[in-house]
Amino acid sequence: MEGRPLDDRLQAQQALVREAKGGSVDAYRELVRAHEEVAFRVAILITGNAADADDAASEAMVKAFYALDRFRADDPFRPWLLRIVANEARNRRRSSGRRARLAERLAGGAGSGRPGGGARLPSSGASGASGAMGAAGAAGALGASGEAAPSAEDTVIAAMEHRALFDAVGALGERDREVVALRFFAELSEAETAAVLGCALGTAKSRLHRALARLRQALPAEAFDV
Amino acid sequence: MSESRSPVDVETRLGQLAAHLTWPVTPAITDTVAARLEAGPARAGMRGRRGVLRGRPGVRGRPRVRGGSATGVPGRAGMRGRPGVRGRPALVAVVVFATVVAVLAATLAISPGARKAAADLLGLESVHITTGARPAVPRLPAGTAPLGFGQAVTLDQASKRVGFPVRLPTMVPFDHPDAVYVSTPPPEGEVSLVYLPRPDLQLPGAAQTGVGLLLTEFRAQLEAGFFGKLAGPDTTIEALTLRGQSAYWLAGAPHALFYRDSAGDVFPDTLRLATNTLVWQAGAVTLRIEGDISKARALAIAESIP
Repeated sequence: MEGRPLDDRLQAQQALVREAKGGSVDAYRELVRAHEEVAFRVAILITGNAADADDAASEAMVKAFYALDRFRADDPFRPWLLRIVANEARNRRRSSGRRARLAERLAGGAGSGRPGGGARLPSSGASGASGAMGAAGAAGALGASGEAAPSAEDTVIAAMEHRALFDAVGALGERDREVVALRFFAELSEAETAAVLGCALGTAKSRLHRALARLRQALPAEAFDV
Repeated sequence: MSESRSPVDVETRLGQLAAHLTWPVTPAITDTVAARLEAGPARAGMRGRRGVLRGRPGVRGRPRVRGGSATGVPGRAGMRGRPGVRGRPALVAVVVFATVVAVLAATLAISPGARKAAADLLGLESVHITTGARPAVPRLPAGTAPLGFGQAVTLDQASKRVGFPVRLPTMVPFDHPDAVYVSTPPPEGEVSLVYLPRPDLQLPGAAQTGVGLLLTEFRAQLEAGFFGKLAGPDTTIEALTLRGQSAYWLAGAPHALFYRDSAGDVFPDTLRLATNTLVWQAGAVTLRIEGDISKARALAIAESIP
């Protein structure tokens, strides 16, 4: 949130949008740059894998450029764009539905009703070598030099708490999980969440409200006792 | 960081949790999109991150530019700083996909048991959660990072992941890579064995990446028909044979090579180090050595791979 005041940035963005509407690829490039991360994250929450998310986000960005003449320059650009990204990501999820269904089955999610708070995979502990795949992505492995390390104790406590919460979110039904992940993990605004879900703002709010209520229920006081 | 255990609203806690999520690295979407737009409207329909060019090599599937785009967008907006790109569609495809990198890792600094929970939550097949004490996955020092090596793994993990045994040179010191990575695409995965510079062994670091030598292995067939034509003017290509199979020595600063995957699709793969490169076929697997080394040395390393 540092940097220029929000108004300035919005104005700069609107100027870019207008230029892009006029056909400027350079202007649009800047818009894409400013949104690629959030677009990719939204896409990954929907497609469930980085490759499809990359495809979906890129494809959506290209489509959005050609759809710019239907976009009103004074409207907020980000929700509009994210909606296109979400649609593209859903198309891809459908086309790789088999994989998605598999993931869902593994998650004990849709179809089997709401699993208990502590839903675990049968294989959880022994996820095996391939599951333990190092976990250090390029970011972790190569770029993780900047952050100051918290104390080991803090890390452990926080990790336990995070894990309990993470598990609880994971145990929600798919619809609840989706809205919570979009709002809190992709850190979308309510309006953006609504755009991505393709519903009215009020609908998104109430979906989120219900999801959080279920999450609270699923998190007893001793939830951290993992 | 040390949130107390007193009741904190779940929204606050979700916000704190979010700060601990590490997402997969965002690929170079901007470059992909800009290149596609610059290539013109017809190309907007061209799908697939690898720039799959179906068909035989040499048949450049230049899409017809439809008569005028609906938006009045110029078919080819200027490709800044890339003279000569216009009218060379296959090269455009290289530009498009040169920097596309998928890193299938989301990390969360918590216990190993939560790994699957993360996968369940995000619906990801390949979400990973890091713990303080990681298995012995060698990693490169910070600052060595070229783009797109993927996930750091052990050699065994790499072999499991790509479905073929990763081959190591027997020549010292290349029998012990400093780090091993797996990335996709290609769909079946690509293993990168990374060696740090060894000035004592006349192995300098590549200018931009600080990597001494890179050995890449993946399941594909070389597609020389493509890359031969597309090498830049500063690159010389020499056809060789290595153990009776095709090999190529590319001197200069080659940009990308082309391969055909098991589905028959041709795809470009960017060279990471922009240094001399030896690429050869070993059965179903393509191997590639990149480094600031001589042809003789590259061949010697290659020949030491059983």
